[in-house]
Amino acid sequence: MSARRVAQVPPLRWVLGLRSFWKQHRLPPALPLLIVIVFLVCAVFAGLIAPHPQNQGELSKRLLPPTGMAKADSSYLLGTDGQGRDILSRLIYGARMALLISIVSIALTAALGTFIGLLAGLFGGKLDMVVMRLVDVSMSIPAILIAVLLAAVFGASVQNVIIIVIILIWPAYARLVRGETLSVKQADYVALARVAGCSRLTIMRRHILPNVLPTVLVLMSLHVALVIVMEAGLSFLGFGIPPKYATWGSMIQQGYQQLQTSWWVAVFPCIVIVLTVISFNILGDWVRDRLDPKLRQV
Amino acid sequence: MGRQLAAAFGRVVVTLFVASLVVFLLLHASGDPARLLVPWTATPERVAEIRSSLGLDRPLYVQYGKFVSHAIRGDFGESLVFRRPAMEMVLSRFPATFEVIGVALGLALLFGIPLGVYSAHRRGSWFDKSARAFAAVGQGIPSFVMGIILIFIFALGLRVLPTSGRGGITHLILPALTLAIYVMVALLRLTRSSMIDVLGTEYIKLARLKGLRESRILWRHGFRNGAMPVVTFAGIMIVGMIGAGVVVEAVFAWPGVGGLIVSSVQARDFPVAMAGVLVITALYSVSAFVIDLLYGWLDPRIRRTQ
Repeated sequence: MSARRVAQVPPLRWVLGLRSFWKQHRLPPALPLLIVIVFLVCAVFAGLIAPHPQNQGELSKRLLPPTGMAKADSSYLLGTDGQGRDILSRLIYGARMALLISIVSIALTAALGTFIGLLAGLFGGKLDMVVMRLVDVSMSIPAILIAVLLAAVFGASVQNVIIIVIILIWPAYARLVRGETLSVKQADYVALARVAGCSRLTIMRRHILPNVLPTVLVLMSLHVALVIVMEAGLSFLGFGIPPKYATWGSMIQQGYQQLQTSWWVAVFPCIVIVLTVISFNILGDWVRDRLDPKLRQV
Repeated sequence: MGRQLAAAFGRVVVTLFVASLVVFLLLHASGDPARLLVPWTATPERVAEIRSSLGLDRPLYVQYGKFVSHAIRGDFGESLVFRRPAMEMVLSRFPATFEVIGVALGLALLFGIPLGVYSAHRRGSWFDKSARAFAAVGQGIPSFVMGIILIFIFALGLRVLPTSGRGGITHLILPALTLAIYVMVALLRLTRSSMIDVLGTEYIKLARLKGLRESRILWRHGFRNGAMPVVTFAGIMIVGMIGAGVVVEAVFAWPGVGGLIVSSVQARDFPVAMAGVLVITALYSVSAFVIDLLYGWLDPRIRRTQ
């Protein structure tokens, strides 16, 4: 009886109000947003939040299980790894590295790729042909092979991971922006600007760029998750960030050999990567639907 | 059609040429293999001797020219480390790679497409919602994480499958499944969105009015028209799987081409790395070429405009 009565009680009014407010303003999905906010806070304030240093462990405290299991140490909430380093702290510092790599590389790539795409679309001819050929070729070698080759050439460092990511994803921007430019170029206002005597650079800056920008923003937001996965994959293969920094990929790499005896070393970074990537994917889809729904196929 | 074929073939050749040049330059920028072949105590004279015996002291364009002229005749040189023909080493690893990719692609097509078609057919239902949730989760999990999750569950938790290596059917299941999920999920999403467009058209309404069986409407009238993006994508995926396969091979210690390329790059074994990357690039170009041909077969409208 009592169960039925509970079921009939209407949900609290403020919950309903919040929900309709959310829907009305087409705000992003709440749970992914929350996860991303936690990720950002951890990344920015890693030094303040992390209870232990990222890279100094105590060998006497190696492979401690997470709190709640037998023999756990309560100051290490998620346990420690093979060198006695706190997993939670390394996850928090790993968020910082993931954020750093994705922000820097995506911003640089978007600028570079957009510029190349604009030039190719606007000037056409030989330049366009060369750029498109380069795009075709770099898209026809599997990305991970390029990454491995580049990592072998440049060696492992933070800058080099950023360079590798840029080389891998610039073709997407160049191709997209070129296509958009070609269609915007046909617009009457561009013809009018040309008749009015605007130079090609002015046309590019004043008339074409603002029209292409939303598309670029959408691609950038969709790329965050991709770059996080790329960085983790490179670090997992041992071609990524040098070991003096904690990254999710290298944590998994160090932990998966001990999966049988101490599962927590690899499993927690796995969970964190999955949650972060899915959240960024969902938010990326939301940005796309808000800004540029016709990109659904991309 | 003949001209179209020739142009497409030309694209394959240009792609291979540029790819080989890029790989060649990158590998040469990455370090001197002669240094790695001799002990640390070797005299500079000894290193120079080895370098000249391998032809590494000649100008770059001479080395590249030599490589191309030999490659055209099918000779990709010898491994600097193992002293075996490079191409032979790459090809000997191919069965293992094809095994995983073949099984994974089969699984992905077998489940991805019907799930996508059905979820478009029952759009908004519980089935559709759970398929989409599965897709969102599957897409968010990087392949090496997926591999570790599967090892954790099936090899360590349930103890029904081996963790790594190559052997019987049981060794194949986890790596193939890891690769398959990634493609399956993408196929599901693509098939679903393509079918939703198709199912809203007039000819599907007509097929319904004619009283055709639902399965015939979905597959003969619907999927035949909605298959285009799926075919394109399945082709691209074959190569995407070779790329993702590098990581999956590392997780499961699977002796395939990806692992060979990674280890030969680490050892600065130029000929093997070149042969491996070129073979994979060729595979991609050829599958893109085959997809172009498949288009014409799938969609007579394109055949006519050609």
